[in-house]
Amino acid sequence: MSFLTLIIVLPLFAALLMLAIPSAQRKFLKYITLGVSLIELVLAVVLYPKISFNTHSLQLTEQFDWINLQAGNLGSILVKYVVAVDGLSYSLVLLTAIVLLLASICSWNIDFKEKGYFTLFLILSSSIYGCFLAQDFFLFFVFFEFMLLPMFFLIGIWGGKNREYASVKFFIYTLLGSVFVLLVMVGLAVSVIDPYATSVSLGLVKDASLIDGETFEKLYQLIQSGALKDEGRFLVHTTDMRYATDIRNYLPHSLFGLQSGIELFSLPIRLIGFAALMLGFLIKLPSVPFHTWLPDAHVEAPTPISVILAGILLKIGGYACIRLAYMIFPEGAIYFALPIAVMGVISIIYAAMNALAMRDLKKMIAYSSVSHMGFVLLGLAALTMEGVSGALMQQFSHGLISPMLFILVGVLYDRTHDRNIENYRGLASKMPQFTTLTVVAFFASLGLPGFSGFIAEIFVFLGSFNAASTNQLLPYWVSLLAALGVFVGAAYYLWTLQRMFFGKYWLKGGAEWNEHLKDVSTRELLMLVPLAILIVLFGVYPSLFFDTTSSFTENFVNETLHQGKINLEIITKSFAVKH
Amino acid sequence: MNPNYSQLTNLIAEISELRAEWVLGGGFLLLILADLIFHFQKNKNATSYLTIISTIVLLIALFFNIDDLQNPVNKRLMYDMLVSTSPSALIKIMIITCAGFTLAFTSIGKYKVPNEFFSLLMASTFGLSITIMSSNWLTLLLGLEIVSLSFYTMVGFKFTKQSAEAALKYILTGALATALMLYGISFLYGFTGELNFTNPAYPYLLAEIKSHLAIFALLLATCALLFKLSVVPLHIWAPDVYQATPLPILSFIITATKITAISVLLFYWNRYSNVSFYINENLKVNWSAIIAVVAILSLIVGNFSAVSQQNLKRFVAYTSIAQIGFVLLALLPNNRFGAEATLFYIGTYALSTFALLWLIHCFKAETFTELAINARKNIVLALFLCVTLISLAGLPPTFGFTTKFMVFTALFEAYSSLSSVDPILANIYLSAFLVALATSLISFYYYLKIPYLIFIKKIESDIENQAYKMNETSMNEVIFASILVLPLIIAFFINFPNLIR
Repeated sequence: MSFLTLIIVLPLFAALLMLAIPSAQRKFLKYITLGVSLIELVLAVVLYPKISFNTHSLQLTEQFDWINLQAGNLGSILVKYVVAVDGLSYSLVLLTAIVLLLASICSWNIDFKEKGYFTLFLILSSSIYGCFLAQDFFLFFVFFEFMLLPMFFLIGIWGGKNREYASVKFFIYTLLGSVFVLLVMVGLAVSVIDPYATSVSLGLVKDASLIDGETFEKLYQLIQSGALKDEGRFLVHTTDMRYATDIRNYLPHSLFGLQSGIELFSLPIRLIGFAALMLGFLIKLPSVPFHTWLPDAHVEAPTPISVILAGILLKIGGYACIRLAYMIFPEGAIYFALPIAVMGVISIIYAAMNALAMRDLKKMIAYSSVSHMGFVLLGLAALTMEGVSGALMQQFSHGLISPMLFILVGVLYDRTHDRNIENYRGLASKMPQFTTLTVVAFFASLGLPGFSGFIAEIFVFLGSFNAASTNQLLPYWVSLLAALGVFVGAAYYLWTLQRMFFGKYWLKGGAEWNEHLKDVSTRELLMLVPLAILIVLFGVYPSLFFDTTSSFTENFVNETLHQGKINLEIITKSFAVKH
Repeated sequence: MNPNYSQLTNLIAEISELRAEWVLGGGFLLLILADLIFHFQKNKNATSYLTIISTIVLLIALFFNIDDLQNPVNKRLMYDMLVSTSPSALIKIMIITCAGFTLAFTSIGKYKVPNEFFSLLMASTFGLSITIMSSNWLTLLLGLEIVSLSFYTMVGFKFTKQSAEAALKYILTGALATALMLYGISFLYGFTGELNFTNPAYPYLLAEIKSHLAIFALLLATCALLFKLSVVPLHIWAPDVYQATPLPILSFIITATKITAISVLLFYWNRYSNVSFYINENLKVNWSAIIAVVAILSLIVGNFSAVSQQNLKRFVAYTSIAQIGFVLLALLPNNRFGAEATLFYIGTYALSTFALLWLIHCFKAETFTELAINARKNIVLALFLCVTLISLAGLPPTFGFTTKFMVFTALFEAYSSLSSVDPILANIYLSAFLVALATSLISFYYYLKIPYLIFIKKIESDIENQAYKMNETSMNEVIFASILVLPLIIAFFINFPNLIR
């Protein structure tokens, strides 16, 4: 079994193994989970030298045919198992490995139904890795959907007081999004062909190994000339993203083909496809106004699940926007640049205002997550090198900062079972280490120079400012408005610090709480200190991150702008002819 | 030679082609006789003897049908009354498998059934075989009536007031459907002078009738099939009847009849899909459009009604309305891909329904609350239940997802290839597609409500303390459940459709 597949299936095997362990031995479960997470991190690190980051292409590809549907006159639909890695995927796989390791340490104080918990935890890990590595839309969708079930139970069974409501809400919101994604996937399956398999089935070459550029040229000429109209049964359709991102592989008159001429809500169908995909993933990201599941899910989820949710699951939304929506429908990225940027800005400001008003510390952090994910949208919408780099960095840095914040809240909650900001005062004198770490996390999150969040946000601002002058996708006021969000962000963090940690020491719970409130334990330090170090490391030396993603980003920005403009022109032209 | 004599020899020669049906029919008589001769009423082991005999009969019939499937035939038998093809052999295999599962259901589940159950099971399997093989309106009617008469009896097998009422409802509504069908057939015969609906020219004969009565008569003649499928607007009987039916019989009724009726629509009625029927000078209607409308109605009514159900069997009834509405969508493309999607979807649906009803039986549950409480006592079966429901909802990693994807893709392809040819019909397909998507969201809600009730919802302690009787589950029960459930997952990973192609 090769490397990437190993990363995906290792937790799954461990989960199966775990089911066989008798309940009497349940104390070993957490060590197994920890061990698996540790091995995964080692694998992710070992992966680094195997990848060449100078090129944007996908590497370490593993593929074999999985589902082959014979669809009569349509030809056949070939679904492949394809996993591969590039700079974008790698950065998120590494993040996943780090966050899951911390989450597995964080899970040590789960004290009932451990077997179910750790099994679900491992299944969840598997599907997250699968999501980031899958290069076939169908395969991605399978992982994407499958992630919901463990998450549903992890929140629903091990969550807080109102967990039933939160888990159902989380589930329904995300499923709603995935219906839109499914719709686009079906559309792509009838529009995109697999150039390799089609060349073979059309008889252009004898064997897939003999295929070269010439064959492709011949094939694309055939496709463009419409000569294949009656040869439909030889076409091999695919859901492979590598082919769906190349416009030449679309049958021109098929649903998502450039000349399809089909429109919905008086927009060309390709733009609708982009909007449907974005809608599906914006729910996951989440962006205002689809964010309301997130505060509920966070507040009710147990600490390790909050860590995974904020640290990784939200990133899948951002990742899928880039990998699927932007790369498959580049013209949508240009057409909808302003609406997406505005949604980002609204997320930044509105969620920050909400955070300002929250009394529950965890809810405040949940809203700050929404606010920070707004930067990802803004940076993406700008479609400049700086903006997209900033968006990717923001994904990574938020993936480090938000777990730290949630672990810190967990530390407090474990001791007093209360998270209300107003019930604490002057914690600095009682818990100095805890306070120091909180200050680090808060400052990192509000974007102080020296921490990774600063680099990300500054790049997003730079990018969106530049967008006004370089590619004219966004006006200046968008980025100016977004800057406002940073002020509000500073306000809620500083205000919280002042209310909870400074001043005279006072607790609502009195002596009883005082007794329980001890400073951070070694296990908690083990989770928090590495995170703090990483946050500072990437803040001081961001090239560490940019080195892995820059060639991807450069190619992504150029391709999206270039191809998007061409496609948009063709589409609008055929649209204008029709009316 | 005397012409009558040669006809007779032909008929006699064709008898051997119908060997599976002879076995089933003979089995039916044998079971009645065995019951009479050996006075099984008094014998304690009667049920096991009868089960063994029925199993042998089914196995022989299965063997013959597999033989037919492997040696493809396309024979018109009994003077064009019946037609034997390899697809019909496939469907008969599915039906006999359903009957076998039903037998296993009663014997492993230790379900008390009267001795007549076995003979009636053979009779209904026989009837379903005739239905799927019929090529003439009269044989179709005959087959459906054999099935219906056995089912009318079996529905009342609980011998309670409620089950008697349900059986009566079933008879009355079923008789009405048959009457409508006969009425329609008489119209069609009057118009065309032809009773053989598999005649390739038949749809065109219908289309040439310049009267709106043609489509009306065809709809009437289809009534009995649509009634068996319990699609809207012929669905009203289903919840009441299903609720009172014993579980094993219910599982047979839901799975075998629906497979048969859908296949008849698929193999024969789809020929009408390219034919436009005359309404008046300006308006023509397409058979596909009618199916699409029925599908949309069933999806909406079935899914919305299933949301608020408390009783599990009523829930199963409404979900089956919704699921059949969905599989009707796969009939619309009218090509090989659509046909494959239809058969895979209905087969998966049948298997998961069997699994669902079997697990309901294991948990001795009538309502959702009872199910939730009892399922907590056996985690393995509860997990099986989750897998079944995920498959019914059509989510990965179960085969239900693959089949749902197939149906959606087939429909989508039909839509995109039609959009330039016939925009109105294409729009109807598109709206059917969108309705199916929207209602599948609703179905996620009610299917996944059950795992939620089992694993997550807190149950008031006083309800939990009410002892719902649930015996210890035996190993056999778990094994049977795994036979039903595990294929749903395995088929997803090994890509089942490719494997059998």
